[in-house]
Amino acid sequence: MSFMRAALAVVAAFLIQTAVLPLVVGDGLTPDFLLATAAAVALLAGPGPAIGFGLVTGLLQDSFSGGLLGMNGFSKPLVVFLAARAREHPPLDTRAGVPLLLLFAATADLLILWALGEVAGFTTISARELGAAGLGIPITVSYGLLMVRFLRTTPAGHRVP
Amino acid sequence: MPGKRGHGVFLGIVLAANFLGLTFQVRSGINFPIREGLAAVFGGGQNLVVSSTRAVSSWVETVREANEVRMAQDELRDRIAWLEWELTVQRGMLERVRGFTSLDAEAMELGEPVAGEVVGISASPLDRTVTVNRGSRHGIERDAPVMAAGGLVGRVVAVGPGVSQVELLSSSTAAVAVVTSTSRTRGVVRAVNDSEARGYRLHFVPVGQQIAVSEEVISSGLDQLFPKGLLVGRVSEVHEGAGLLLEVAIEPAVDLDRLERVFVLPRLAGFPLLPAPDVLEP
Repeated sequence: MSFMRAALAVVAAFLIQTAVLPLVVGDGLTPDFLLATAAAVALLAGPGPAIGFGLVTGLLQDSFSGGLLGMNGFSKPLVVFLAARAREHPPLDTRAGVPLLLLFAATADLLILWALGEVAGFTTISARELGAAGLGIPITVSYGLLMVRFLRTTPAGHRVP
Repeated sequence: MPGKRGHGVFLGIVLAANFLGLTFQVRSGINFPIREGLAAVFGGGQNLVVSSTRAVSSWVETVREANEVRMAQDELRDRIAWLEWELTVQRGMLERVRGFTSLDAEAMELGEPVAGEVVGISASPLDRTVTVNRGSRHGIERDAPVMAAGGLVGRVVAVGPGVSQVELLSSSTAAVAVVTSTSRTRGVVRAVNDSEARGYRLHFVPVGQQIAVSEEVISSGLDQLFPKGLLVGRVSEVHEGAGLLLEVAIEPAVDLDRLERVFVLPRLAGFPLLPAPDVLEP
């Protein structure tokens, strides 16, 4: 996997999330393209890069969300690290494991954010926001699958017929 | 390469730093200045993406609104056609009330019309017919009068299950018994389709009748084919002919070359069918 390509994917996801999404999707549906990108990187590159990309995307999201800095910076590295670690174990190391791990990452991220907000008391997350994020999970997973395809590089010496 | 332990330590540091940062922000109410820096870095890209996306969505919105306007325009056109139809019917009823006050209300009713669209025309200048997309399935019968928003246009001469052929008043074989609205002069309107003139001519009007230009010409009902009171046209020219009859030119009430929507009335009850037995194939 090319890290330059991954960085480009993060920037693209950020622009889609912050600039395009509000114009094309209503308030009732909020997929998380940054998480999907970070999770795709994690599944392809392993736990180490997963933490780095998770942290960067999380802080980026925090910076432009208007909330507390560190909410996503906490949850993103954690969930993508767990996904990357789970990817190393059967049966999740198969092709079918990718969508499952993306689904796990999207769901776990939402739960952690809710726990940080409501249980730890850092902020308040409304039920409407939570519902919109939940409804956006299928799109997050689909975008993550696209990112996995995009970031997966052709092995050296392999010629495409 | 750090091992699993190294990853765990790295993650622990990251999580702890974030948690402490969160706690610090909540307790102190101070925001980290990192926001302003990132906003400066990404703000330009965001603006570019937003403005280009807005331009595209604005274009899409414009196209969508144009479609909505076109649909609304079509609806309004239909509505106007119906209103003009209503006006014509009311005018016809008024005319019949004026002429035959003893008629009962039921006899004055024209019945519920069947609205249809012209889907085909005849190319022959002598065989002026149009095809309407309504037929026997919709309750249309042969010899049923056909109107457009402005007035009478012809009669049904052949009926198929889903289409009907309408002989227009501009056909050389068509005729309608009429009466003028003010002078009450009776006659028969037929089409003029020569190289010099188009429109209708009022026949069998003796010299001495006081017919005014722009007087309305309406069906008299005496042909037992068209109900009384339907507007046929307006007198456009009156002058004495060579014999004992006046030559009266009529401007058609409806531009038959631009017919789009028509209303087929129920055939007049009790009136015999004219000999035109053709039935359209579906």
